[in-house]
Amino acid sequence: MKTKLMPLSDAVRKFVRDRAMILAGGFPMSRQVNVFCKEILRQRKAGNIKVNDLFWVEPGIGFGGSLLIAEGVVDSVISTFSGHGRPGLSVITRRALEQGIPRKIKWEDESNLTLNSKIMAGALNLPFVPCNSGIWGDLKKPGLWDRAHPYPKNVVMEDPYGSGQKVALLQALRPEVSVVHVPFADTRGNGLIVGSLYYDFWSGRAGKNIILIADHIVDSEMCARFPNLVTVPGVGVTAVVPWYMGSWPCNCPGLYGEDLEHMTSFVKVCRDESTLRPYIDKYVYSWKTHEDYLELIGKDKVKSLESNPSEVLAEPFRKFIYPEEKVRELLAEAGAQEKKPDTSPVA
Amino acid sequence: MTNEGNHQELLKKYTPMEFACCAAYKYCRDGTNVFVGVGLSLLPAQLAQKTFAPNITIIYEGGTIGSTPVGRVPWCIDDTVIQANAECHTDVLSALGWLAQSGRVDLTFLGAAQVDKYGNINTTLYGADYTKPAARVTGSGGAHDLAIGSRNFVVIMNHKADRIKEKLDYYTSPGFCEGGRSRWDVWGFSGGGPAAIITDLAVLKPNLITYELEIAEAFPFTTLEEVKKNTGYEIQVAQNFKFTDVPAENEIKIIREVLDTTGDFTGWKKLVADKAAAAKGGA
Repeated sequence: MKTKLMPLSDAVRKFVRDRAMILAGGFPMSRQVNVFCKEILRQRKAGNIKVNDLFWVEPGIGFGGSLLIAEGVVDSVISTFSGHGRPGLSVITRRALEQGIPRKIKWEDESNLTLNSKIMAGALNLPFVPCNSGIWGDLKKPGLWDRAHPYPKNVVMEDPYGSGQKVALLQALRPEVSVVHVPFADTRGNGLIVGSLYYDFWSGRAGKNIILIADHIVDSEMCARFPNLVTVPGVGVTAVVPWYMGSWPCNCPGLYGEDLEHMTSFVKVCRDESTLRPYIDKYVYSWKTHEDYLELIGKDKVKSLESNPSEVLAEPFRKFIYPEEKVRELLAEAGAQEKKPDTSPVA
Repeated sequence: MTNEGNHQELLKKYTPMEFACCAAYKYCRDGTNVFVGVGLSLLPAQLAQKTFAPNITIIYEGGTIGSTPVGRVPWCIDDTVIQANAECHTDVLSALGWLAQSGRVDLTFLGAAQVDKYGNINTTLYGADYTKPAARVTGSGGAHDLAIGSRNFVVIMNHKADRIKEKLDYYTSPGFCEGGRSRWDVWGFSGGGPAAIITDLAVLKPNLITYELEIAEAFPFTTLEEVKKNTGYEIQVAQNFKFTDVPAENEIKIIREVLDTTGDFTGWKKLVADKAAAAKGGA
């Protein structure tokens, strides 16, 4: 069976393209693809990818999205929300929108129902989808795109079947890449999420390429035993990146809680460039390996986050988790497989 | 005491947000589905659950259905403390598309940056220019969708003249739209709109002919003049206006000892500290 495992750095180099639409999963405090965002910045700094104008779609701009905006690599955003929950508003998003620092970004406001519907429509290969939301108020008006940018806002029409109900026709979104964080995935890309799904049922189906960031790689036996619980079917997934604590400081229900202490201090740090710069240098650029990454969070911190009320949700699946050693071997095998020529009889 | 205002001494015992929370939770009904957002809107549904409405089902927009927080107040609607004991985990499309749009959400608590005289909500930005806002706030999230589909909603917010006003800086979510019956006759929205706007000073409710918000109640520590002064349009006083009851002992006990133990949401800890300091000073 062909494995879809891929190292984080490869996934970023292979799939992140400037100006191509990237859809990120999660919610402001949960299962955000934070380590993927950091890796974009790291690969850019190393000169391995050229990105200066990312086109970023995310339900709520929280931690990772804020870092990308802070580093000035985001050109356009479609989102419904920005903030970190109780720790505070997204200082970085505010600065970009209010003062154009570090640069002006083009921002489109949606509601959670309209944005999720647009993503669903894209996944189903529909040109548009009707919706009860988006017929009234300022959300239906275009936001900050250049006029040249193709993002028509909602067409309002009355039910052609005569009920008289007004609906908004929302144009489908077709992301180039969709990145979703899951607690468990097997090497074929079957992802299993415990806890709320947010947009990720459809984000895991939208996109030309779907990438999973998985805290744990599990034996495919898990899918054989719980096939109805597989949230993101591997058949649509392009790559699986193993990365434990990949969503930190956001939570991943079942595995670790939200790092409220870190988030609260992050909001404070963001207020001033003189404190934000060292923060980014330390938490984005300073580490090299996954071990370094965990070290930076701190062993005790990881332990304390692991003990949280949602850990019972992961109980049935823990026994299928591959040990770290095994995942390293599988990643090496995946690298070797990549180099093998295709031997199918009909090319 | 119930029908006169200006009892400022009450602010030594209760915070304005405790008044707001105690006014808001009474809009719940036992056995119904209540949708909650972030921040202060989390508290009233839980207070109802712990008192007269043990059988309400709380729904969060991330897709969590029927959970109660474990250990502390959730810091966001996707906090792990609400994910442990849910009846069911679904997604945003189920929560906002299916449940809210099909009339299965009976009541929603929302926050707001601004509200206009018809109960329309702005949660997006301050300032007249969208391209260069004076201040950006959270954005719609699911508020727009819930304002349309929820059978009723209650807004909890601060009362200031630049926040409750004639015209909004940005129209995020519909209340009674352009007034009168326009919400239903022009726009055809399925839900009933705002049942009340509850602030840190008063309870505003719609006049059922014009659908303009009127002062239905004021908290007894304030006065009608103060409420009017802090409202950005010529607000009317409802015919059956009254001063709100003082929170009951058990309500305050639950808020402080069970729900908002850290005081982050209602700010009650500062009151207690002030009182202790005053007692010390006196002694």
